[in-house]
Amino acid sequence: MACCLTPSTTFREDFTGAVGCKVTIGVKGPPSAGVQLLQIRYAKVTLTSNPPEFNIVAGANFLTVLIEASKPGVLVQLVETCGAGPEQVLDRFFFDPMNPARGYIVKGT
Amino acid sequence: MHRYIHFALSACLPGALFAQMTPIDAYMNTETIRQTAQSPAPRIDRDVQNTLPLANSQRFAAYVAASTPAIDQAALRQAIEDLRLNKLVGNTVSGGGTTSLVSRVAVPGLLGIATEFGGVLQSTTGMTTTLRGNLLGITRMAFGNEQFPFCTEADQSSCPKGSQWLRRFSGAISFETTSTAAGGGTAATSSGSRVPVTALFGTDYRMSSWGLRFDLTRNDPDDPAYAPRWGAAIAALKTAPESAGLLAAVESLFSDASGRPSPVYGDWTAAAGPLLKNAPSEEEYKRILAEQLDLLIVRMAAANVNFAARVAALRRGFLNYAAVRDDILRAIQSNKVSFEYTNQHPANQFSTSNFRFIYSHTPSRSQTLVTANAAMTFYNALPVGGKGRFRDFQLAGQLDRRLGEIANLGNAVATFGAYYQWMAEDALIKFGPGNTAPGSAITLPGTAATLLGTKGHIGIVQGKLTIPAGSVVKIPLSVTWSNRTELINQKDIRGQVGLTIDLDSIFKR
Repeated sequence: MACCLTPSTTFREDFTGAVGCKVTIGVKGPPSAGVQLLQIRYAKVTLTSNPPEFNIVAGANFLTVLIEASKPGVLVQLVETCGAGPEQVLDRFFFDPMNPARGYIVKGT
Repeated sequence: MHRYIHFALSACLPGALFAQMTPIDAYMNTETIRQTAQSPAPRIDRDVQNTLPLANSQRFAAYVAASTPAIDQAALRQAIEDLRLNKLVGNTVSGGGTTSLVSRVAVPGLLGIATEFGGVLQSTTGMTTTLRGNLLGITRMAFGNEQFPFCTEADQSSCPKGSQWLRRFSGAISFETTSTAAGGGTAATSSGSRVPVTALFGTDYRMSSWGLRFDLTRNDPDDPAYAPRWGAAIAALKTAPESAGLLAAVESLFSDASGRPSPVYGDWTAAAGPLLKNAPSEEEYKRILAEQLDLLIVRMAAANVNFAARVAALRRGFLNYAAVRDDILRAIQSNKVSFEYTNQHPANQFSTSNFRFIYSHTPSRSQTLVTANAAMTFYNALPVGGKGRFRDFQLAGQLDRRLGEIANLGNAVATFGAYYQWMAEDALIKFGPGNTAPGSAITLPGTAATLLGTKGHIGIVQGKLTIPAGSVVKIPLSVTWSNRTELINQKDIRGQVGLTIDLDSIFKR
């Protein structure tokens, strides 16, 4: 299964993807930092499946994630799991306890 | 007034403790944004996106509030408006005037405004209501958020020193209804009035105690045992309503009327992104980012009349979330030492000051919590009939051990506790001159009564088993033995069966 999300070439949204494509999301971090994805929402719906999955819908929609780590400043990766293929790193950032919730705009085309 | 007090504080304490950050410095005070600003142009698009408000919404909300005072004023106005409505409801309900409605409403009203700023929390035990305030939150209310930035338990090292110290102090003030205080042993004057009370909130409340606490220890994220403990505890946040509330608030701030991403924000990112990508230096990045954030605030405020309310909602959402997270982090400290001072005003007894050291330890591989207390109590003034101000010495220890899980119900907890108190002198009960003894018509000659034979040693031991009945209801079964009590010199052994209901668990669903 190929990856669904493509980094946007404009700054207007973060990612684009084909409508209907199934996206599987995960987070990674250093083993000692206990990085956890606490909550995730896409298109106004809280994702409860494990791992979190959603189908891309038409137009621009929010993808919001709430991430925690035991140490401030550890490097966190938000990844898309693409079937048997390699994971795609969607985002890389240093964990910020003053800003645990991050938002992205995904445009379905 | 605030400025005057602040001047006094600044004069007394090192300036570095109160170093003020500009709004843009505070916004950029995270490694992800700093590294992007420092990297050479042209920067990677994804890195630039990570410095924009949607990726940093909680920092953006703080930026808006710091650079646009009207936002906080709007939140405050809303809180005052809510308070006014509360009063209206209260007056309607109690038209008979038998209770002091204004004083009843004043407590939650004050609390409401305070919690807007993360300053005060309320807890109620029986008929006693306790307001607990973190000194950092209260100071932020009084002196401003820029001067004392919010500081979380999770990231103390990056907090300004002033905030780090202030957040380790907390205060509490307890009130009880005077009818409770009057129950049983009330000394009534010949005119029928009750024992004088500190009626801060009207005639039906009295202050029963106030106190200050200082936490001497904090979590060490570099301790290898910390991460596993953290991982197990933080999972509770997955289902906490505060987590869902925070994400909803983030989306709300950047959405249009349909709930989808606002075109105003999209247009802004499309223009601001390339400017930041090609900023020639870190200083230029900072200047352009500040300029663009200010422009975004103007555009979003013009496009949405609820912009200020949504910023306030996001700030509140983050504070609520951070408060839950801080509670969790404090609970998993393996070694915790606190010092507590409590000024007690027990009904019909002389007011006292209690100084207490509290230590708790959670062994890393054990499901056991060990707690120890050592305390001394002094009368605030030499009581009539007393021989000295020193009243008592206390030592207490408790062991809580989590037992196996009962299917579908949760973990039972076994507790063993022991308490020792040495009373320097016989206990004293206070009466007004000319009072009658409680429950009798006997007129007492003085202002205090000495309870004979009550000085000396008091020992109490308790064994308890708490059985869960789901996540909300718990049934504690305990047996307690004491050689005597403070006021009655008799042995006492009693068994107790209780029922505790965790209302927070209900509301979190």
